[in-house]
Amino acid sequence: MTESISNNDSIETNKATDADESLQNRLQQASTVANNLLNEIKKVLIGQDAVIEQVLIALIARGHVLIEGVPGLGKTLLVRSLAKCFGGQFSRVQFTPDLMPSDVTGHAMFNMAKQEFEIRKGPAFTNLLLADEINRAPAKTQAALLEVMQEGQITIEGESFKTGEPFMVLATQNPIEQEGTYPLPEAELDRFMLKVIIDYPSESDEQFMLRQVTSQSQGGFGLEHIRTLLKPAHVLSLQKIAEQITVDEQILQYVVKLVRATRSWSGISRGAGPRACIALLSAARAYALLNNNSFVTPDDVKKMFIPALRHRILLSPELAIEGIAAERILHNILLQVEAPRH
Amino acid sequence: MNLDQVTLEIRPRSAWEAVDLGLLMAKRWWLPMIKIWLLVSFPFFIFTLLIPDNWFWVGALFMWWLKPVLERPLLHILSHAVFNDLPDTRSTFKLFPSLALKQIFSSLTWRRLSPTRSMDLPVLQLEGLSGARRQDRLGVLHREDSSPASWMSFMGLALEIFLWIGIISFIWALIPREIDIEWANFFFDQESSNLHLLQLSIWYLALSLTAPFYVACGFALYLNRRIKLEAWDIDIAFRRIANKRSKVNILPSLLLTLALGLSIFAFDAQRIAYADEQLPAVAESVETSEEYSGEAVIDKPLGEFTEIDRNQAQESIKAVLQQTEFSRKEMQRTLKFDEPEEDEETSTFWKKFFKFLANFEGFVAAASLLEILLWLAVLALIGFVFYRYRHWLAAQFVRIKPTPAPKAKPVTLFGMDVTRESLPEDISTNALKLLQAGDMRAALALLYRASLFHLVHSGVDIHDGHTERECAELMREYFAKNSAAQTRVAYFVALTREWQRLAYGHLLPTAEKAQYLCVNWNSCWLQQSNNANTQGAAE
Repeated sequence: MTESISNNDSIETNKATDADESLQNRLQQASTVANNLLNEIKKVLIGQDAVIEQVLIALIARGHVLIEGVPGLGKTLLVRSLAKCFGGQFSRVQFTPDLMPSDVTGHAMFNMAKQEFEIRKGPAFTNLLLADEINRAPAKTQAALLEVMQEGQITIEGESFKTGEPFMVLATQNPIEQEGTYPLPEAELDRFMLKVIIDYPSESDEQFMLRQVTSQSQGGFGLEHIRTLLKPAHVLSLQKIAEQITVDEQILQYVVKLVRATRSWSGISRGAGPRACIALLSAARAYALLNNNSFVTPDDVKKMFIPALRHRILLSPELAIEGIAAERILHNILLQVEAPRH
Repeated sequence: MNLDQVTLEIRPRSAWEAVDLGLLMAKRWWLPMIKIWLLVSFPFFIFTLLIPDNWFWVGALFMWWLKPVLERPLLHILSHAVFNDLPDTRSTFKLFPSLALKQIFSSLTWRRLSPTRSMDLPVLQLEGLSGARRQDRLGVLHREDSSPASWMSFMGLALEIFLWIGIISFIWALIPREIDIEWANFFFDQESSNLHLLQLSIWYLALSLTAPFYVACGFALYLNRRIKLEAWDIDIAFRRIANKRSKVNILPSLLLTLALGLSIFAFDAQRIAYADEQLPAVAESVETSEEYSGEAVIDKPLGEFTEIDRNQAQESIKAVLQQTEFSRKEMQRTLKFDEPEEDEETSTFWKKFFKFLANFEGFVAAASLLEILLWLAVLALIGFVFYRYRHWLAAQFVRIKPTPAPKAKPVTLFGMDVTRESLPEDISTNALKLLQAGDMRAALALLYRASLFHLVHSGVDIHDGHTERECAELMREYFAKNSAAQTRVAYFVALTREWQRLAYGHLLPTAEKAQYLCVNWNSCWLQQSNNANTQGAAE
């Protein structure tokens, strides 16, 4: 702890109070909007609050999400309701073994009538791209997403095209069926900000969901009841506000310390890269925003550490054989790495 | 009995070869044997048939139990047939009572289950021995080649049972499927049936089929042992030579009757002399052969047994071996190195050394020392294994927590010095002073540090990895049941919130809030401290 803080500092802080207040107000509004969004989706997707929260965090932090879960837990429903909530475009690509990269990104086609090439944009030109069962497509098709996930643009025939803004990829994969699948390459995995594990809802939630779904006259999931709360432009402003959330030097150091710990930890043969630091901090900021905080605390970092890191580390063969989950190791790291000190 | 008349080839055999011989004997004299068997055993069989049907197994057991007695006439037939003196059925049947009553009690009680029964029977029946003499004789006989006798008993019993089951199955197989027999009634109902009679008859048949072979095998083993012990084969060889000689003696008289000349007689005498030269050792016996010509050389019937004077026999054997025929002297010349002188010294040294070692009592001590060392090594190995795999073991038995050792209270926490010495006496006053001096951060830091100090010392377990909010949570959990400490908990939560805002959000608290926190520290932590701690401990 710096025992003394200079008076100059406090004077400067006072001067900036006006700016702070407007930021506080905007933050307050942003938080309310984000929480409204959360509650709206909760109405449809029942019993998966943590998953919805993490997906929203990724949206606010300009990240992409890899959702892992067995079929039938509402992965598609989540994406569709999210798209409807902010009035964004939504497209879904079912990844199959014979899917080609151009099926995702788009391609140039010769128009016989006009005697010229015209660009046909693929499903990736959207706001929310659901890559369903992403590990069923071979590596070359998975690699088609590399550029669009990192840059938000797609190059066809040497010409780059911007995707929709905001842009977010939600990929799903099935953890139990490994026959005939292509595990995601590290470069691809690293581009996902969070890996979200979607599990079965609790008993009471499941009962509630069943009652609600069966009471619908058309038998749908009530997607039509979702209100469009904001426009895509508002999501962009949410993202900007999240970037203005204060991050103390200690928090930066803590994030780096945590990520670096994965590289030297026994039991982890390959730790997380620098992209993990960026993703962790952005996610912590978005989490703070959701909780109406104008600054990031170590608790926010801790909360986001496991979802942001679990797909970026490779366990050593001994631990992998013993069936120890990456989460357990990450939890140990959280317990043993010193929290920030002032 | 006469070895001349023996109908077998007398030679030492291996034990199982003797058993084979027994089977051949049983095959050859099967008819007389089975005749006498049926004759003597049939009355007993009729008797067993009279036993009530729910006790029929007693009848089966009874037949089986009587076997040693019923087998005796079979042995009588065999022992005579071997020496070409096959007795007729009538005489054997007449002899049966005397044969059967010989040592009948012991045979049917403690000797009944003897596995070497078949081999021992001739000792009783043919040699007529009993008591200690019988035991000695059996000891000699059993010295070798007796294990097949036990095997024969086991296989005989097995064969009887298999035959019994086999014949029943065979009969059952012949019953057409159209005849619907309710088998359950035979076994479980009280309905009377004659099935038990059939079963008993089959059992009797099985016994009859095996008995001659069993007796013959045992007798062959006994015979083989005696051939070896008494060297019958050598005896017979000698006898052949003696017979040849006696024939040679007859030859001149034949020649005389043919009115041949003296010269020819003289020639014959030369031949005799030649024969004598050739076989000097047997010359004497040939001379005396006249006395027992036409009788056995070993004129002891099987039924008798005479004790041999061992010492005398040994001396005479020695005397025979002393003769020149049995000894041979040869002189051999070989080259040999002269052994050096000191060799003798070393050899005596080594002799002494080994003698010393042989009587060395320290071996016991050395052995126990070695044992202790070995056990220590084993313990060390176990310890090493535990140490080597401690992480794995800890992972496996993570539930077994070591008893929490009294932890030293952390001296620094969150990089802050949380010792009594580092804190001023009056926290509130000092914090207020800092606040009035405008150093709000220092004031809050002091309050937070002091709170942590008290928290750690009231027993809340705080680690390096815990954040400020987690500390507040831990405190809330720790004092959850302690109502007196709730104001303190509320104070700490508020302080934590303000401290976080200041430290991470760079947001200064309002002056009133800061003052409130400074003023109330003492009242929250010091006055209630003792109270709350004692209550917390009680709960």
